[in-house]
Amino acid sequence: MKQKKHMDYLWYGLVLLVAIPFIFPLAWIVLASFKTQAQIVTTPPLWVFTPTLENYQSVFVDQQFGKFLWNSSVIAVGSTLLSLIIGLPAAYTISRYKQKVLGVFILLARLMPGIAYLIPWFILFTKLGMVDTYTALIASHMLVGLPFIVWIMVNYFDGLPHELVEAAQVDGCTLQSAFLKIVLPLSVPGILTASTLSFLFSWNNFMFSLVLSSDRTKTLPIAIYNFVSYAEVSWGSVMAAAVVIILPAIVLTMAFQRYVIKGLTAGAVKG
Amino acid sequence: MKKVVCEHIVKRFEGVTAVNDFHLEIADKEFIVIVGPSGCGKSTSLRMIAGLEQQTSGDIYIGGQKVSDKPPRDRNIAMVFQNYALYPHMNVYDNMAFSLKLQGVDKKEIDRRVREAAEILNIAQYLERKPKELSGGQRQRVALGRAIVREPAVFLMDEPLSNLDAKLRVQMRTEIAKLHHRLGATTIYVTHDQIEAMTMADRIVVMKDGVIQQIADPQTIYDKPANRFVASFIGMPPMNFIDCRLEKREAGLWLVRETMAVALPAAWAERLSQRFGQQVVLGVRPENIIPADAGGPLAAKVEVVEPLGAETLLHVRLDGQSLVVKAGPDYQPDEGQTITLSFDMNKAHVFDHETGTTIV
Ligand SMILES: Nc1ncnc2c1ncn2[C@@H]1O[C@H](COP(=O)(O)OP(=O)(O)OP(=O)(O)O)[C@@H](O)[C@H]1O
Ligand SMILES: [Mg+2]
Repeated sequence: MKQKKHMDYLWYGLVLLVAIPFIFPLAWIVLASFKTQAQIVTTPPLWVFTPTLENYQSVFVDQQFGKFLWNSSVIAVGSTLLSLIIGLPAAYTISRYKQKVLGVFILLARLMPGIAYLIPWFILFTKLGMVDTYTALIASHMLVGLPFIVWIMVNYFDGLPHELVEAAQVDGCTLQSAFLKIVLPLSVPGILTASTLSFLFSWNNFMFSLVLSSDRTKTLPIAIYNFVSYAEVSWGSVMAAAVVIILPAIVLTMAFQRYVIKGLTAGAVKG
Repeated sequence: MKKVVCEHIVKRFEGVTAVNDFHLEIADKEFIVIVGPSGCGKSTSLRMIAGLEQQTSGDIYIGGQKVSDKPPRDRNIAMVFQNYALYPHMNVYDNMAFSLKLQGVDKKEIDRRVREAAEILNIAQYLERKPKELSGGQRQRVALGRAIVREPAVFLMDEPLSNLDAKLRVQMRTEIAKLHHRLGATTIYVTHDQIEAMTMADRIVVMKDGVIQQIADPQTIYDKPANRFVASFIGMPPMNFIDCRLEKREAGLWLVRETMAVALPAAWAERLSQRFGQQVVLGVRPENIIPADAGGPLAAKVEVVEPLGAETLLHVRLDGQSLVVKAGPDYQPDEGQTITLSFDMNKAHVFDHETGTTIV
């Protein structure tokens, strides 16, 4: 028993050691976002201080981060939803009719460096007069989200017993209604994983947004980038902005971590 | 009119012919069992009738209607799968009600039918449970329940009992038979278990390598197998086969080996007339070999004795050939002992040496 306890402590110690490099910067950012400029630059760093909301105020009021937050959300949610609507039936068809080659092609689209698409897209959307529209940004972000959703879901659907769909067909379903009534409800964990990942990819995306967005549709990563390039850097505000962009990612990952970890290893082991 | 007709169905997968010239006419209310070894095309045949697999050629009629190109939902069939295939996200009630809801049957009627089926199958107390909270036997009942609430023209069952333990299998076998008497629905049942076939079937279809070997009622299959394969597949322990040469002597027809010679009934002479001097195969079921301590015409050495309680199985060696003999429970010779045997030739069979077709 005692032995076991020692082992436990050792284990937690190790975990802590590994976690520190990840947690420390995060903690520092969060703390700094509540400090004044003077408090931030003090050495040694202050751990106890009176927090101020000044930074957040400057971020949301002066810098209009509310708008960017909204833009990021619309684009991330929009591209994820659209990817799901197209990707789920596509993935099911690939799985059901064993079109592995097709699946690999779709994944290839994802593995190509995104920058390869950028120039054609920029030209295309400029000609169409669609630069700086949600449509253009959602479409470009789907380039990442859609293949991911297809890839994860093909693996997930492969794991579902095919007999269930056959039973449903005998019970009176068409292939489509069997998909809606049997396959989808059983795939909720997979769908959550795929959606979370797709959402995060879009949320964190920098390159596509940098090229295709402008004042109207600017997303959070671009906003922060512009922020930093201001002449005088207000560290407190930058940190507050960073918190605004990190927070949803953390909340989402925490909420669905069980599924996300499964999704990240999907296909590694046939479960 | 719930007849099922399969007209010369063929199914080819790339390269392999899984089912060849499957021709079967099933009467209303009939219980048909399709048996055969693994991979002989039983499931494929059933799945074509269900519409889950498209036949390469041939036609299928259910209740007088051609359904060859119809999807499963338009064939008025219900199917019970080997792995139950219950919908895991629905409770027992919803599993059973699913097809009725799709048909748009009204709520009260659905409730009535589900509860009635649950009553018949003894699962009324589990209606709220999810499939994973049930035992294998209970799940199988739910699967049956899901099929019977439909009141379909035909029941299709693909090895529904093979995932159950031996005792439960026997019990469910009886229950399915009872259910069939009660509902009188046309049923096509696939199994590789010959006991299920013998006990449940009105008629048995024996398949091998995608080809139907024989279609007949259980007793005929047992007494008059169409060929050596059917003879060996049905019956436990299986029929003994002895390679012999057919000889015509003064005293009638004889089957001979090195040291063994068996006289054949005179009535067989005509059917065997083309084969004098040829190699043939004698088939005798274990219960048609009669052991005697002395006086029988054939001397055999006992190798293994297996007392089973109600009977004793003797593994003996006769003229270099291993045979199984079914004897009474009291007959227990020593291993190594030499005994004599006689064959009940009126119940024996003679098969063609090459093709295995039954000659007598
Ligand atoms: N989808 C398929 N593609 C290719 N070949 C198949 C397919 N399904 C079945 N087969 C082949 O068809 C033949 C018959 O298969 P089937 O499943 O009907 O056998 P079975 O009699 O049901 O056997 P078991 O008792 O093992 O279930 C087998 O040789 C099998 O390999
Ligand atoms: Mg099978």
